[in-house]
Amino acid sequence: MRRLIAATIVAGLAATACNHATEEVPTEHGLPAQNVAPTLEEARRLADDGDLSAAASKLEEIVSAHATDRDVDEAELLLGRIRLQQRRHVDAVAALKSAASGSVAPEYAKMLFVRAVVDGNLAQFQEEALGIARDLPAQLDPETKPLLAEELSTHVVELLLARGRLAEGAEAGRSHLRAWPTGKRSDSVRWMTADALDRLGDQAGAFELYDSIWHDTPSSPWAARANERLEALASRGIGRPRALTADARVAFASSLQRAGLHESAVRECNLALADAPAGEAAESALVALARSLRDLRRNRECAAAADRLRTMSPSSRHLPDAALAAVGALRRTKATGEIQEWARVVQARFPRDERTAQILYDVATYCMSEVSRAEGEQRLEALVASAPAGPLADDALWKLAWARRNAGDTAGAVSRLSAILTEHPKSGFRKAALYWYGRFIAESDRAKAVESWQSLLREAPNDYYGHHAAEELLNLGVRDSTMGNGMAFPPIDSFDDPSRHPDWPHYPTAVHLARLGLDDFAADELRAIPQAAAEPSMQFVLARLLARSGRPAEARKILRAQFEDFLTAGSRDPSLVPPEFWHACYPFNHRTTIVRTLADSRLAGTQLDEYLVASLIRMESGFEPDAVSPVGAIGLMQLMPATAGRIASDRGLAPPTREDLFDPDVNIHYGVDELGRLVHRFGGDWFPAICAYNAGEEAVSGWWEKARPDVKQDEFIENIPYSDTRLYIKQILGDYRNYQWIYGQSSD
Amino acid sequence: MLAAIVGGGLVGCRVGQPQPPPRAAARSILPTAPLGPAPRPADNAFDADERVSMERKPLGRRDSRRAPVVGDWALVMGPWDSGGIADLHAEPSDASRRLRQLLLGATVAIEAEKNGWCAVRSRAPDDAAGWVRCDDLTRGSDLVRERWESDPKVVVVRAPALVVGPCHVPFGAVLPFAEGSAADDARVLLPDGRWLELQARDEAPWPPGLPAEAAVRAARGFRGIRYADGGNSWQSMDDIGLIRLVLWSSGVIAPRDSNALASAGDLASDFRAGDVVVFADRRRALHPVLVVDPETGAFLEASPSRGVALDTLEQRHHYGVAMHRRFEVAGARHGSTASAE
Repeated sequence: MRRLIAATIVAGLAATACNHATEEVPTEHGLPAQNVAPTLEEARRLADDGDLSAAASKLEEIVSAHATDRDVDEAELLLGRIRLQQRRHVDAVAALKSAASGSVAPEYAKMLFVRAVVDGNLAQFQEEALGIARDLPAQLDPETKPLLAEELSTHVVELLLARGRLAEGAEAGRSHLRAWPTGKRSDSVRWMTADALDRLGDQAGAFELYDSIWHDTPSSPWAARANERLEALASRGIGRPRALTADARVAFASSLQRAGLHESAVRECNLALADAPAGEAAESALVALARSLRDLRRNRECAAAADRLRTMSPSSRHLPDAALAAVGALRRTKATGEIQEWARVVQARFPRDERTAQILYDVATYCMSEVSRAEGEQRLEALVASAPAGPLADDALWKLAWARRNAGDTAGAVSRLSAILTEHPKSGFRKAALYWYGRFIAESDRAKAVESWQSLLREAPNDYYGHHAAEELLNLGVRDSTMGNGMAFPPIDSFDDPSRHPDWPHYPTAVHLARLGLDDFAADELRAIPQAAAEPSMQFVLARLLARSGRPAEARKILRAQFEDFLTAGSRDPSLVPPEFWHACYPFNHRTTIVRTLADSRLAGTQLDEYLVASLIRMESGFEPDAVSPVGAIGLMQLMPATAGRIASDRGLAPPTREDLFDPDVNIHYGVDELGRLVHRFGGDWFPAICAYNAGEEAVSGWWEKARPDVKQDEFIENIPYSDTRLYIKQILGDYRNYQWIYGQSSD
Repeated sequence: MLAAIVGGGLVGCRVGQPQPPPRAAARSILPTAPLGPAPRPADNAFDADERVSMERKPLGRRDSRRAPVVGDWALVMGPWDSGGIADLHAEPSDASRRLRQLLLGATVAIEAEKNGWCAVRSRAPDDAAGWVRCDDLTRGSDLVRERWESDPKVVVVRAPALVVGPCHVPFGAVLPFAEGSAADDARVLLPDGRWLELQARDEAPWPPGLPAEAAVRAARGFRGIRYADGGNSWQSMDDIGLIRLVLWSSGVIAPRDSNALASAGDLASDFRAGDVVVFADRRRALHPVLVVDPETGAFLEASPSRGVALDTLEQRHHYGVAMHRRFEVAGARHGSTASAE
């Protein structure tokens, strides 16, 4: 490595020796000039790396350069797929229409054509798409047909309704629901069919479907609207409300709660209490009621519901659940006396209950911040002594460690961290405890500190704390620390030989589709192979296909389930863990857009680079362009529409539509702009700016400007009052280092 | 202890021949209460502390009752809880851009005065024009100038700062010897005329300052200091501020502009502690860092993501090395040296 570095430097020096003038320094790191005609391979490679804009422009060059027919067909198919992924539906349709009449996988071009027309609501192509959607299943390979038929059937319903052919649409919908009653698209088809029946005047039929949506799938996106329609029809005497027992009503209220429909849950709980004012059902209803009222921030009503349960049935097994909700609500109103009373009640009646431990923990942290540090510490100590080993005890020890540290008692902090490490080896705080244990004892016991940091490097070299441990060891001049678990990654299927698994159905098709860049179809084929589920190498291929086709959340789920050991402790040695694994774990889609947007922004010339933006996107949305948060933040960089509107207004532009913000290019543009504003707001310092992207600039400026200036950054982070922001910034700073080493070498 | 300088006068000070004081113990500055506003020491909070002895001389001192004199010389002496540092701003306002931080004892020429702010031109190592609060400057300059110009001096080399009670004497502050100072007992004069005894490990004769290797070893004490534009002290640091400060402690005045830095000093190809390596990223932004250990490839940098931190050349392989410069007091062609000032 030293030789490599020296060589790089010599090359750099040679380049600069001729250009001694300061304005002409570094020259060798710009994008290389492209004078040769692009090839399909180059375009595929760019698309595989998630660089869709660059891939699309290369494909357009291939198409316009009149290459061989087959190349043009392939290019147009891939271009159509990319344009669809970019939500540029009109461009997608243009490419796919040509590809559909070509010789390369025309059935998939047709499938994508239908998708583009439906997603883009392109009226002029709807009849054509409808014909294709109806005819295509008969043209599909018998093996592939089951994978695509449900989607095509859904598109038939959508297109008929979009054309205003309501009766045909409703009939197609009913037929779809008979064929796939619990399919992944049945919720949306049920809603569309109910709506069509309603508009056709078949209100009894509509009522039945609305009722099914509301009661059977309250977490579906259409549930709240279905309920509104149900109530409107019922008020006109159409249909009869579903009769529910008190028990069933409480169960339904719980489903509503899980779907976030708390107002409705409160109503159902009150109906259940009216039907059954006492007994098991009433107790459950009161707990559900207290929870929903807490989530609605109706704090006094929540406390009253819990009190009612305590009065009605002082030894109810549900009492700790109600107490938990009540304490959560009472914390907001700072009702210290009532909070302490709840702690006393549950401790007396349910001393060994896990829920009691949670309540005692909540009460202790409340006391720590609102009553006195001494009482908070006393309660946490009691919890550590009595609670079973688990996340609560770990958390209590961690909080105690910092309480001691902040009180100037570093030895007390060390003993708590030591307890986490020795008594709770599976603790979620282990990495943090290893790092801070080393930091706190380094001056007095260098050897122990080194041992602690070396353990951390073995267990979590790619984590925020792992990176810090590496720096501490570097500072001490300690070399040869083992990084990672030293395990070799399972062999990866290169996925280029259709005949590798002759006995596996779908395999040859999957390989063929992946080669054409039709990754999402290839992933679906691969998922249909029963033998692949047990093969780590195939699961890895599947994760890569999903990540590349714009479904990173599904990819991440597979990587977490199958390769957790490598995610946290995988070696960086490419002979043990291939770069492809890291690329899948740390996606870098839209890289060119990010780089160009940064270069055109006010962040140009600062140290804020594309790796930081990638880490932020990974944290915000997991590179999922369609991500929407519960509070309404949209897309890759999770922008609030109001924020984007303000940015546009500052520039005298029309505010972007909600749909615009799902477009990765637009989203990155506005996100980087907002980041630039925050960096500027914090005087060029992007550490508080990133915190502010999560916690809001007012909160962060309060913490940042009031912090003692000599507080080291890592210690500042541990004392950020919002736990979400604490985790957020550590994740981003850790990922940032990972993006640097994973993608640094390939930074063209 | 140390401070008590604001409006101090002669009240409570010892005159005549003070007894040799106990040495000011430098200690870790790890805070006991990381969050919340820093307490501001009262004016006389440290007078009774026996660990530090100071004798006040009727030299320049901060006195907000006296207007600054345009055309006069003054010494920087910011509030003690800031370690005597004064922020140099682009405009006469705290809200304006901070250009850099002027260290305790830096000499400035007052060029104008406006609403309690003085337009100043600073001398080495800052060599910059801007605005500082007039309260952060001493008044009455003749004796100040005499002592600061003529006496032998030392540079404070404890990073991130020499802590005396709640005060932080900043790394890089250059202070003249007080009268009666012995070779192994550096008693330095503060801008208001008090003196402070330094341990040998916390100071170096000035010029020439520390050898480059020792300077970067000392500079590791800045690790963990947060990043902020215009910072060059224990309070905050920016990339070029760190490099200039460390080079200054070894007697080199480096340019403050990254491009100029990349062509100052001498071209080097073998690594030595104290060398400046300038990386260039894909966007051609320059990132100067300071080599601290040629064997491990470790370097020190001030980075917005991590504050002042160590890293290795291996970890930064995705950047190209645009320049590798060496600054030496003798033979430096592009950078100027403190001894030449």
